[in-house]
This record gives sequence, structure tokens and C-alpha cells, in this order.
Amino acid sequence: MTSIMDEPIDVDTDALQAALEQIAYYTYAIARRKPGITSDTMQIIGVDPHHPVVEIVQGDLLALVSAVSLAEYDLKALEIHLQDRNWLEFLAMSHQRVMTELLDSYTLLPLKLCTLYIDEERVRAALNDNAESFRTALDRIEGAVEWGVKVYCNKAALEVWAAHSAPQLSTLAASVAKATPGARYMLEKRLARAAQQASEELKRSYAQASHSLLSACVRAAEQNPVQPAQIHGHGDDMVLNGAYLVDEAGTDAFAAAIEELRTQYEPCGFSFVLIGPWPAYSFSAVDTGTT
Amino acid sequence: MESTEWDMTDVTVLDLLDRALDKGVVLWGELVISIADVDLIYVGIKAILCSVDTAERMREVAWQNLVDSQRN
Repeated sequence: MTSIMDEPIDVDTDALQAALEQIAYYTYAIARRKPGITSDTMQIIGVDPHHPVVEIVQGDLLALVSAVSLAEYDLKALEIHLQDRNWLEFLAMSHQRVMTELLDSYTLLPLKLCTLYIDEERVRAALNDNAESFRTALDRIEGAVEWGVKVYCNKAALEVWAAHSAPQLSTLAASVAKATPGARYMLEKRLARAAQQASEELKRSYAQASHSLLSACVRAAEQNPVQPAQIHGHGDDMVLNGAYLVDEAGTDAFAAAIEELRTQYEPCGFSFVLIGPWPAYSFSAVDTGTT
Repeated sequence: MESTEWDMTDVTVLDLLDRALDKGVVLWGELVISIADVDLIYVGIKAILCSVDTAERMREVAWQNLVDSQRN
């Protein structure tokens, strides 16, 4: 007589593992369906390296998500992790990596870092509840990406430039050139002081002129708060932190504008740092209310 | 303007967090309890990651690793 213990047990280890491992959905962005792209073709690893990024499709819209283990992301675990610098650094960088990879395939409406859903149904519900707002927001940014332009100014270099080239100081500069040796020393001091005073205003107006030039050739433009020196780590002061919504058609004009700014203002002590492409973070405001 | 043309060490942790924490669309996910809590959490994340020494560290080491992994 055979007992049940003698029979081989057929275990579906994948199903078993799925049942045992509780997951949540880390949600990166909302997008529109694109022909030719499916979850299978994407092959992007999520913030949890065991799970790929997949689409949850609801009509013409979709959410881009990846499964994360609840062991790492439930409320209790998050409370600890969100205070852990190393964990946060890794999350921020993984999130950034995923978004950059997704940008190749979709126009992304980006969500805040660490948006989590307990199951697929609730992701779909969020897509349904906010469908019109999402469509409006996606229309605004369709086919475009964000480029950041950080402008720095070296005050000393600007003052030197201003003393011999600023239009408002040209009369004084000319008088220095024509002065007798005796008067020259005093006039040079006056010019240096005047250049110092003028530089504050020049710094501001050239930064704004830069923003205006860039704004004129893009779909949309925003100024973000400038960053403190200890964080940006650049030797010079940041004078502009601009965000520009650039589409395919506008890319050449935007690049040309950057070059024009460099030509015009680098001699004045300005430097222009281009960062991107980003999803259109600065142009994606959506009123979702609360669920 | 390709992303490979720019030096990613120009991107700071503040550039990322100013976007991904301050600007991303807010969808009240299931695992965060209330609006006030979420705001506090994001402020907290930013404070932790934007301390001067963290920013310095990320700039020098971690971001370079990310650059390398994205170039491969």
C-alpha cells in the first residue's frame, strides 16, 4: 500500500514564491500607450532589481511600475528606510536611472519619488479617477523633454570685465585711459569701485537676459530657485536655475541659443551648465485631489 | 544634445530632488497614510540627502558609478 508520502509532490515554485512574497507597485510615471512598446520589450530593471518595469494599461493611459517587496517597502520598513541616508541615496539614483531609461520610449508624466500602490486594481483606479487631468497634462508636454540650465557667475571676473567693457562705465573707463599718471591712480580706484557696484545689477540683468533668450525658443520655460553654494559645489554663485521644455523641432534652436549665451557672457565671467534630458518635471503640475 | 554629451557630474543630488520630490505629480498611494505625513517625509528625505557632506559624497563617488552604469 502506498501512502501519500510516497507520491512525488509537484510544486510550482514560481507560484509558491509569488504567494509567499508580498509585493507592492512602485509607480514611476503616467504615460500614453505607444505602438510597438510593451512591458516585454522594455527590459528595464526596477528599483528592486528582482523585478522589471512593466506597464499597467487602462484605456489610452498607462502607469509605469515595478514590483517591490513589501518586506522592504511596507509602512514599518519605510519608516526606518526613509531615515537611512544610504538607502535613500540608492533609491534616488535607481529612480533616476529608471526614469532616464523610460524617457527613450515615452513622454512621461513623472510621479514623486516613492509612490507605492498595494495592488494593480488601485493603480487602475488612480488612472481612471484622474484620466482627464492626466490627458491634459500629457498634451502639454507631449514629445518634449526638460533641459535644465544652471548659470554661474564669477563676481571677480565680472568686475574686471565691467571696468573695461560695461557700457554704463565707458565714460569713466575712457577718462582713465586719457588721464595723467597722477590722476590715473585715483580714477582707476573710482572705476574699480564703480565696477563693483555695477556688477550686482549686471549679474542680475544678464541672468534674466539669458533666461529670456532661452525662453523665446522653447515650448515653455520656468525659473527654479537658485541653489546654495554648499550644495552645488561650484566655485561661483548660481544666478539662474532655468528649466526649459524642448521638443524635437526646437532642439537646434535651443542648442544655438546656449552657444550664443556662452559667446556673449563667458567673457563676463558667466558659465552655463546644461543638465538633462529630464522628464518634464517642471511642467507637469496636475491637480489630482486626494483619493 | 544627447545625454551622453553632458558630464553627469554636473548633475547634483539637489537637481534630482528639486524635481523628483518637489515637482513630481502627487498620487496618494496606498502605503502612505495622510497628506501631512507625506509632506513631512519628503522634507525629511530632502534634508537627509541635501546635507553638505552627503551631496559631496554623491557627487564624487555615487554619481560617477551611475554614469558608468548608464554608459554601459
